Amino acid sequence: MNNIWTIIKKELKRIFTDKRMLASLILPGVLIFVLYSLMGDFMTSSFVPNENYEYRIVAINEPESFSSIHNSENYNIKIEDDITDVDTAKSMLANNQIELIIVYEEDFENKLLGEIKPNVSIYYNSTSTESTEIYNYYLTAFSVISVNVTYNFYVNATEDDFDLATDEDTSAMLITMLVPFLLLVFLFSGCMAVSTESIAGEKERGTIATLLVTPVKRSNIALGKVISLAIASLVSSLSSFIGLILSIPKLMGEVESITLSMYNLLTYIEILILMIVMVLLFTVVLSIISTFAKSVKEASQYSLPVMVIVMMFAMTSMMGTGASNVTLLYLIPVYNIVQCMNAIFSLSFNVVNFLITIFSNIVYIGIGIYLLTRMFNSEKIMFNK
Amino acid sequence: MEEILVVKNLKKTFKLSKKQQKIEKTKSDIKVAVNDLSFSTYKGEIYGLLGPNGAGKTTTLRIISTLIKADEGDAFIDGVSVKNSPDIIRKKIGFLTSELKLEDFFTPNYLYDYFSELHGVEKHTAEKRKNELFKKFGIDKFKEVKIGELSTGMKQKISLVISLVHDPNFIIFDEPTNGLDVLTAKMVTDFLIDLKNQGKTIIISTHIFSLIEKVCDRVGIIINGKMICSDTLENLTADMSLEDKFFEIYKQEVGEENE
Ligand SMILES: Nc1ncnc2c1ncn2[C@@H]1O[C@H](COP(=O)(O)OP(=O)(O)O)[C@@H](O)[C@H]1O
Ligand SMILES: [Mg+2]
Repeated sequence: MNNIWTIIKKELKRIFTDKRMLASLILPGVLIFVLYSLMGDFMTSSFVPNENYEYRIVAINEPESFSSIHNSENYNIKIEDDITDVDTAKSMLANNQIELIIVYEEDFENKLLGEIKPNVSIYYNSTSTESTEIYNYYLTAFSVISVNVTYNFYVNATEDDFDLATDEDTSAMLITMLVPFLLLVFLFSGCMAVSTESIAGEKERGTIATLLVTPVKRSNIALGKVISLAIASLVSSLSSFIGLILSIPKLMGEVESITLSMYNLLTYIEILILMIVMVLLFTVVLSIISTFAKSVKEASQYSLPVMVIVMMFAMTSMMGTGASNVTLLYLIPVYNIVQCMNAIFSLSFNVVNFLITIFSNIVYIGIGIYLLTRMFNSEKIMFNK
Repeated sequence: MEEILVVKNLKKTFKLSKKQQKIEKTKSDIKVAVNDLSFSTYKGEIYGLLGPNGAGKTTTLRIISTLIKADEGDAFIDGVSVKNSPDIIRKKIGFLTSELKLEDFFTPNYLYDYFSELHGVEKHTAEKRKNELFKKFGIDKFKEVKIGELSTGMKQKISLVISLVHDPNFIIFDEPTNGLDVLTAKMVTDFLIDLKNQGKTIIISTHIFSLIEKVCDRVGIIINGKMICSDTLENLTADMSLEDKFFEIYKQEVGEENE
């Protein structure tokens, strides 16, 4: 028993006095906490009314006595008076040109006093955060009236479908929320698996010296490494991509109406270009880390914090808030890729942001490769103790 | 006798990390690994760098192999400066460390071709040389077997062969028998003598006296980065064994420093 305790003590000492070991132990917890709190923040923040937003509402057959329902302290509501046709309004709602349609049954006010309760129908679009928000607000408002006042009517009691989101919209929203995140995580782990082994492995095994005494230029060795790694990572990312596209319908098993019909060949090409750029950047960064590390183990430990950052950026696609419009933000690596994917998947592609993303990343990749070749020329890094 | 390698006043200092300072039990963040080191080796002989761990053997051999750069001094192989023309030097030398572990995943055949190509050996010549070397060392039968499945001895043979794909005339082996079992070590010493018989010049480093006694023509004793003496094995062992001689010198050296 004594021996066991001696061993336990020694092992614990080893683990808890090694900063890197400790970090790799604690990071997953931190990671989960951070990610979940971010998600939580998003959930709550989405229910805070946006005071600057103008909620456009079409009210049809509205009795005078009900107009006060639009007086809200929290929401800036605009009644679109000129639209009186339900079908026109519905197609506008589907296209996010308005946020809500309220349709009162014909002769609503008189029917309130009659035997049969009249209906009020409220249509919304679930792919729009604002529409969903204001829909919930009105649902509450109407139920308050129907309870407190002696009025008696039904709200959304018919068989009608009140969510006017199209299959395309719903699909686009789900894909935007899920795909960029999963894609980035897959791409990163793919790159990590190959990059850490390739260079740090050679250092660990000592074969790097055999390689460096050949007449091959060191910058070429570095390039050879990074290019082969990039190719391997690209292949793995391509397979992730295909797997993902194929599995989207299954991923969202319960949603029968999932469709990819809103995307065309161009969408896929744009996504592929972003993926290639992303993988190259990951490969270069991970190669630099791998060159710096003395062993494969050390390389994977050093890669962990980078992975956390990547995942944080990837999380921004899950916020459902749409792609950022601030052009300067498209200079931030990884984040810009996520935002571009977000824009492409949610059908709000912006050429300028896309080009800025591609070119800024190419510049970062170039700088990274330059650094890597410099590192291969540095004996301090190649033969560090 | 023709001098092949001339080492002149090499000096190399390393910056020590905090962790290394603890290991080396020193407060100074600078370590002089090689200190004003000079010696020469002659054509067709085996030269042995003898010294305890941390003496600066690996550092010296790495400088000669162009892997790291000296702070001061230079080394010349066939009159070519290691400092100024590392590219030419790399074509002339074969370099191998004992700790080398080839990637398990590959076959001897593949690795041989890979390094041949990196060394720019012409295909036909490479093929011929590969067949010769593989036959001679009994690698033939295993040339398509993955390294991971081979014995330690076979792995070591393959490492040796692979460092010689370009048929260099000057060969550098850092601790060639370190960590090897007796049979593999014997194979390596035979290999060294064989290379010498082919007219190659070889420099090895070791802390093993018997290896020096078995294969070396000339010995350099290196302690704390300094070359204490460089002479023929015959001269050094004229009145006592190599081991006794070494400790006599070692006591003088380390004693002096403590005073
Ligand atoms: N890259 C390095 N960084 C810092 N110190 C080093 C480095 N390489 C060697 N040293 C130090 O230089 C000294 C000589 O090392 P080395 O040449 O490996 O000795 P040997 O091969 O004779 O055992 C040792 O104290 C070692 O710790
Ligand atoms: Mg050594």
